[in-house]
This record gives sequence, structure tokens and C-alpha cells, in this order.
Amino acid sequence: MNKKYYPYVLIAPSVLFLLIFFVYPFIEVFVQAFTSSDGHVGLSNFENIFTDYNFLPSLKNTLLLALVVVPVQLCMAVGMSLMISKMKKGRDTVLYILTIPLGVSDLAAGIIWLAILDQNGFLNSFLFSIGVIDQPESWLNYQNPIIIFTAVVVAEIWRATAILLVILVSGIGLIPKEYYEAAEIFGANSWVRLWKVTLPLLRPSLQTALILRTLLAFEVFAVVMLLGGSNMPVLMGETFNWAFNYQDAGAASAYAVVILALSIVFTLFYLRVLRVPKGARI
Amino acid sequence: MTTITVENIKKSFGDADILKSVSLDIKDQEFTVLLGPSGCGKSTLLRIIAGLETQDSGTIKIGDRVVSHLPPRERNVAMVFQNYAVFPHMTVFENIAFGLRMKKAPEKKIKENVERTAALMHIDHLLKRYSGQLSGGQRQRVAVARALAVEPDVLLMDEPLSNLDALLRLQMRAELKSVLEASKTTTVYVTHDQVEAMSLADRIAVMNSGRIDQYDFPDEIYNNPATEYVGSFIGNPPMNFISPDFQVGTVPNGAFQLGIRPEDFHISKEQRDNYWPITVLTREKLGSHQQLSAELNGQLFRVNIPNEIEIESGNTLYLMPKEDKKRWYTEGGKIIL
Repeated sequence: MNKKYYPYVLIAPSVLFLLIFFVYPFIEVFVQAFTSSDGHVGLSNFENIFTDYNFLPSLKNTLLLALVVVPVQLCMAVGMSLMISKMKKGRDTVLYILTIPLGVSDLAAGIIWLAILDQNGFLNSFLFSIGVIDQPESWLNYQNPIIIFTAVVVAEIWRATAILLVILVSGIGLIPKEYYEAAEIFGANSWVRLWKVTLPLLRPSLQTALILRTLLAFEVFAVVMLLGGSNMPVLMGETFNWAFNYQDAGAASAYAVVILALSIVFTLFYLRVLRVPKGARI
Repeated sequence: MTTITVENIKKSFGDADILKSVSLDIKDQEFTVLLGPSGCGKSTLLRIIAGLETQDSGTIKIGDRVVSHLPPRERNVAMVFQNYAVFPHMTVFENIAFGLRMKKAPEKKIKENVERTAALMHIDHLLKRYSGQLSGGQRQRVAVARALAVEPDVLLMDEPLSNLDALLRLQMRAELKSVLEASKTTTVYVTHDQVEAMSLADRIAVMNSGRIDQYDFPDEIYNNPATEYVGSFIGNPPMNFISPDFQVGTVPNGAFQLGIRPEDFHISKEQRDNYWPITVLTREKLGSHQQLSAELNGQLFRVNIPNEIEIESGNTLYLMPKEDKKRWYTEGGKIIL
């Protein structure tokens, strides 16, 4: 065989894989989203979901959750990665320990936090045993939407901060130490060095981390499902409901398209805001 | 008045003693070069003066102020780094302005200083660029301008030319010399390049595994190396060290070796009184002169001779060291004065 075909032959299996399991379903979702139940092309699926009483709450909850979780995780991850980068010994060990929650599936994470916060959970038993409460309390019910929201926030932070952390730790490792030394010589204290040197030079990593984390936040599902159930609708949960409970693939696809649109908007936003000018890279 | 006083500085990393009690008195406006091979501790000493490393013991004074335990930003020093360390996310203007902004200088002064130093370093047309759009030489100029813009008490330079190619290095060296002479700033400059040291320095401190062997004017360093080490480090080719067994004439008490530079011989093609008969091993034509590797009773040494003398490998040549150029060294390698 002619040598110039080798690269194409070698790449063919993965291209085929992507075409079958990614591009095809992707197109299929679009087709379904824009095809009404009677077979006409149009926006009827979107009309269905937009007029549904759960749409606005699920959109609001999803955005609010991302708005709270992502900035908190960002600050924590920046702080933690700075500390880890300064460590001389045991750095890898600490990093491995901090990334353990990443290896836990989000369903399992939800179960863990349910086991803690449930009426018969660890927190109740603990507070009861030390006498803070007289009887086990049920926090995760429809009367306490703020507690449910907080519980989801805590669980999400616990579960997924490490994804930002690993990206930032490797990003900080790429910054040559001479920049810090030069800044130090020319009068910058550690706070100024963080704002004038570390964070600007970390922009590419911050960009990657934020895009990844925000898109994942829009897809939040299992943790919310377990801790909030129907008391806290989110976009992904609604997609699931329409697909499996209401058996309406068109509406579910429309939800998926909404999530995709949100993701694209935020990705473009991050690309724009954290843009590094040409020639200004390390 | 900005003198630098280094007193009994010691520093070790783990088991390795990098600096073994180093002292140095640098005068106001003086250009001092720390010269030595890699690993001799010269960069560590510079970084201790800068405050980027902390000494194990000893004191650093800048002027009358003891700065040993002050952070770098309180020492009013500026530094030029080997790999420039020009901030990639700032324009050339902002890079040069960085130190002044940190000192909260008024905007007018920042603009004036940036423009003045940029013009001095011939980069005034690049002020809006980012460092990624500059060549190595241009980045080096930005680094120097950034250091000069803050009008520091002390200017520290860590092998600033070693990342440039040979031709550019020569040009920058000459330019640096005139700029720094004009700025009248007390300067400490680290290099492993003896030519750079000889050409730039008011005084050179030759360092040898954590100690300063000699701190003196370039001529003195060349003509009267204080130790065998200095003689064999400075000069290309280095000083010859010959045992005095076949020396005719007086040998001082305690002398173990004769130090003589390759150019300091009387040369003859015929046998004469008190001349050494040497066997030429190789001859290299270097344009301005020829360099011989030669042998006498199993001792190797190098001789520079004028182009006019015709000689081949294997021939015998007769040499006598010039009396006033002979330097005698003890067994410990110290000069006998």
C-alpha cells in the first residue's frame, strides 16, 4: 500500500468510532429536537418545554448552582494549587488525596451526601448524640429549598473542585520561577505577585478549567436527583424526565439543545474574557 | 554613596558548602565582576546580595544599611536575569514601568523614566510590543531598561549575555559598558566568561569553589594571579606552571612551581646559555600569532610565538622565561611576593 495513505488508515478506526457514537447521536438529537411528534419540522418541542411549569425553575436552579459553585470552586482551587505548588515534600501524596472525590461517580457522591444529611444520616446521629438536637430532623424536604440547594452546593464542591485543582497545579508548574523573582526584586509583595504575575500567566489554565467546570455544572444531575429529587428541578433532570418518564424524545432533545446553547455561550464568554493576546504567552 | 559590604557570608545546600565565608568590599559606583566556573558559588552570592536566597551566616550591607534579613523589595536593588524574565503578559512599556509602578511613582515620572531608558537601550520603537514578539537581544535590552528605570542603588546582573549569540554578545557588551559607565550605578555582574570580565570590570573577584581567591583590578589579576587557580583560570591559554628543577638562577624559599604566561618567553632557534631546549608537539596558527604545545622533561606547556618564526612539530626550540614575568607559587598554590 502506498505510504501516504498510512496516516488515514491509522486514524480511521477512531474517526469511525467518533462518527458512530458521537456525531451521529449529536445530529440525531438536533433532528429530534426540531421535529414535532406529527413529523413536521419546527419549534413545537421547544414550545412544549418552554411552557412547561418546570422549565424556568430548572433553568434558574441550574444557572444559580453554576453561579455559586464555580466561583467558590475557582477560589478554593487557586488557593489550594498555590499551597500545593509551594510544598517541597509530599506534594504528590496530597494531590492524590485531594483528587479522590474525582474518582467517585456523581451518583455515588450523591449517595454519600445523602447518607450524611438524611433524616437517619450521620449528621443527625452525631448532633443527636452530642445533644444539639432532641430528635432526628428532616432537612432535605420541600419546606427547606435553601437547605437542599446548600447541600447540593456542598456536595458539588466536595466532588468536583479537584478537576480545577489538577489543571491549575500543572498550569502553575509551567510558570518559570524567574518571573516571581523579578517581581520580588522590583518591589512586588506576595499579594501583588499573585495578581500581577501568577493569575495573568495562569490565564490559559484558568480558561480551560473554567470552561470544563462550567459545562459540567450545566450537566449536574445525579447529586441533585438524590438530594433534592423533584424539589429542585435542573435542566439535565428535566431532560431525563421527558425522555424516560414522559417518553417524549423530542422534548428531551430540545432540553439537550438548550443545555448545548448555554454551554456554547459560556465557552465563548470565557474564550473572550480570558483571551491571551498574540505574543503575550509564556 | 552606595557601597556594598559582604562580610563572612556562608551558605550551604544540604551537605554542599556553596559559600565558605566570603567577604567583599565594593566601592561606590564600582563595577565588580564575580568570575568563576559553574558551581563556584558566584550566582548564589549574587542572589544573597539580592535577597533571593538567605545566607546561613554573615552580613550584607548596602551603604550603611544592614540588609541581610530584608526582603528583596526593601533593598532598592535591580536585577537582570540570565533568561531575561521579561513578563510575557505585559507590553515592553509596562515591563520597564513595573518597578516604578510598584513604588507608586507618579505617572509623569514613570513615562519619563521609561522613555529615557528605552531610548538609551534603543528599544523606544518597541514599547507597545509583547515580549513574545521580540528577539532574544531585544528582550535583553528590555530587561536592562527595566533595571535602570527604577534608578536602583545597586544593579545586579546574572550572566546577562550568556543566552545571546556570539556576535550579539560582543555588541551588547560594548553597549552595556558605556550605558553602565554613564549610569554610575554600583554594579555586581556574574559571569563565567573571562573576556567579558576583563573587558567590563573595574575589579574582578575570581571565585573558586565557594571562596574568593583574588579580588583585584583586571591587570593585576592577569599579571599577578594570587593563586595557581587564578593563573590557570584567567588567560587563554592559561598560565604555565613548571616545576623549578631545571630553573637556572635564584629560586625563592618555599617555591614549588614557576608560573609563566605563554607570551612571556625569550625565544631562540639556536642553543643559548640558560635557555631550555623544548620539543614542539603541535603548532596552531591563530592569525595574530602562533601557539605551540611543547614538552620539556615530561612537562607540558604552551608558548605563544610571533608568526615570523618557522617551526614544525618535532623540532626543538630554545626558551627562557622573562625574568620580570616570573611568578613563584608555594606547594599550596599561593603566590610568593
